[in-house]
Amino acid sequence: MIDPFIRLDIFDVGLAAALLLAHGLVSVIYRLGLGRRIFVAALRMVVQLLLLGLVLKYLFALNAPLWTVLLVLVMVLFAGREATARQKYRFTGLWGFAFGTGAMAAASILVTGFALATQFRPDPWYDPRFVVPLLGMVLGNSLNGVSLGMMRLGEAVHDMRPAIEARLALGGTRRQAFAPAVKVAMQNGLTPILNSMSACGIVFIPGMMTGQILAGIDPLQAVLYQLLLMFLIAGATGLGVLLAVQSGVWRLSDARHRLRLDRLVAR
Amino acid sequence: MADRVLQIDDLVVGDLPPVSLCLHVGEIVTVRGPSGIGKSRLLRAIADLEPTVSGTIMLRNIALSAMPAPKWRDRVRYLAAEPGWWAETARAHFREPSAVQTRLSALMLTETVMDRPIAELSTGERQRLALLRGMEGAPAVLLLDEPTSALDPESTQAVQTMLRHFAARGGAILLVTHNAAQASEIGDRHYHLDLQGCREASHPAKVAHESTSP
Repeated sequence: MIDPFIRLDIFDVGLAAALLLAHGLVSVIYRLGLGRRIFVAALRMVVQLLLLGLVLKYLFALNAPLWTVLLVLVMVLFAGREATARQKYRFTGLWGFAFGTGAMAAASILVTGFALATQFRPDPWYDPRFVVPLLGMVLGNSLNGVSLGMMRLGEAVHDMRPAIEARLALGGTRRQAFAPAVKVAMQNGLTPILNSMSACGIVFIPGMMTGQILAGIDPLQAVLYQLLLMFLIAGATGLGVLLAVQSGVWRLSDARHRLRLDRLVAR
Repeated sequence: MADRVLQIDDLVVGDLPPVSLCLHVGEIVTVRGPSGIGKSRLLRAIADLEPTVSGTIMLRNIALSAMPAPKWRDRVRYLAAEPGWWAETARAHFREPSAVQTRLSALMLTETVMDRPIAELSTGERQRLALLRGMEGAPAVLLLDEPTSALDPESTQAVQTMLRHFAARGGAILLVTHNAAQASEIGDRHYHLDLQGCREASHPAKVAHESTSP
């Protein structure tokens, strides 16, 4: 450690929150009507984060595998809901939620497990101080990719219907016919992680690294931590997008290699 | 009678009553009927692009359900009224572009049509290219949905000549058309499809009430 970190109290944070008053002022002057929404969003953030802090504190003290697993489950389910909440075309029934949740759960848990088993090796393995923040970072960042990938898949399959059916009608397999739609969906899903990998360090300093440096960690160590996390996130995003898009294609076609747009509804 | 290549028995698709019809080798058979009755849907079902409620479809003596779907569609080709394209130029849509190049003039298409962006081609050019694409690899049956709807009289004649050649070389065509003159000019037999069912007609404009197909 270079310096001991500076403890924050409630007044430091409250002072920063005063910056939000400027938002409110702008909203009033320009009649944006956003005052209420800014207030609600800020309040949500405060309550959610404070709750998380309390839960984590309690969980760290408890250090029980069952509670850690339970929290992981809750995080995954919320991520699945968020991933499929704003789709233009959604799958009938619970399929979209199932694919989003399943893909992210599989990818994030696999990648987090990999990091726990190789780089961190906490003792005991379920130590929530490692499991929860790692999974949270991986889950939150792969959520973006999975959400965008699935959204684009629905739109692409819907818009490319004549091309997909023409390919099928000429004797193509569903794999061949869906390939162009899969391509754009995968590209769309991987864009955020590609962007942040190429821009981080120049355009922005990642939040986690900033936090570590402020907390007094040697910058090079903070960089190594950040790199490790970025690679974990990239791995989980790639795997999650692939799983989500492939299961989407499976659902939008059938064993007779037909296009099943009846399983997709416009919101 | 020549041998049967496609045999459909009591096929139920959507709201239509059961449809039975057959195609013989070398035949062009037309299907007419009111708009929106489900003619396209029937063709799509024969190509296995749409699930059917009941009934059987046989290609020679093999049932549709006994053949992998891509192989079935390779033998029984459905050409939609509005063809779809998945690549930038027409060339990328063909299995053997060099073989197609020699057939362009027969449909009054220019040599350059293969390499221009699909989006820049006229509807009529796209329609004729889709026909050439659908005939590649000599399928047994062509299911055509209004194949000359965007064509001028000369191009229509050229397409009809090509379809006759296809049938004469052992193919069979099921042709959905609104044009009664075209049906009687090119069709060997005619079916009429409406809510009462699918009946064989002696003349494309009339329906023979006494004879039910096949």
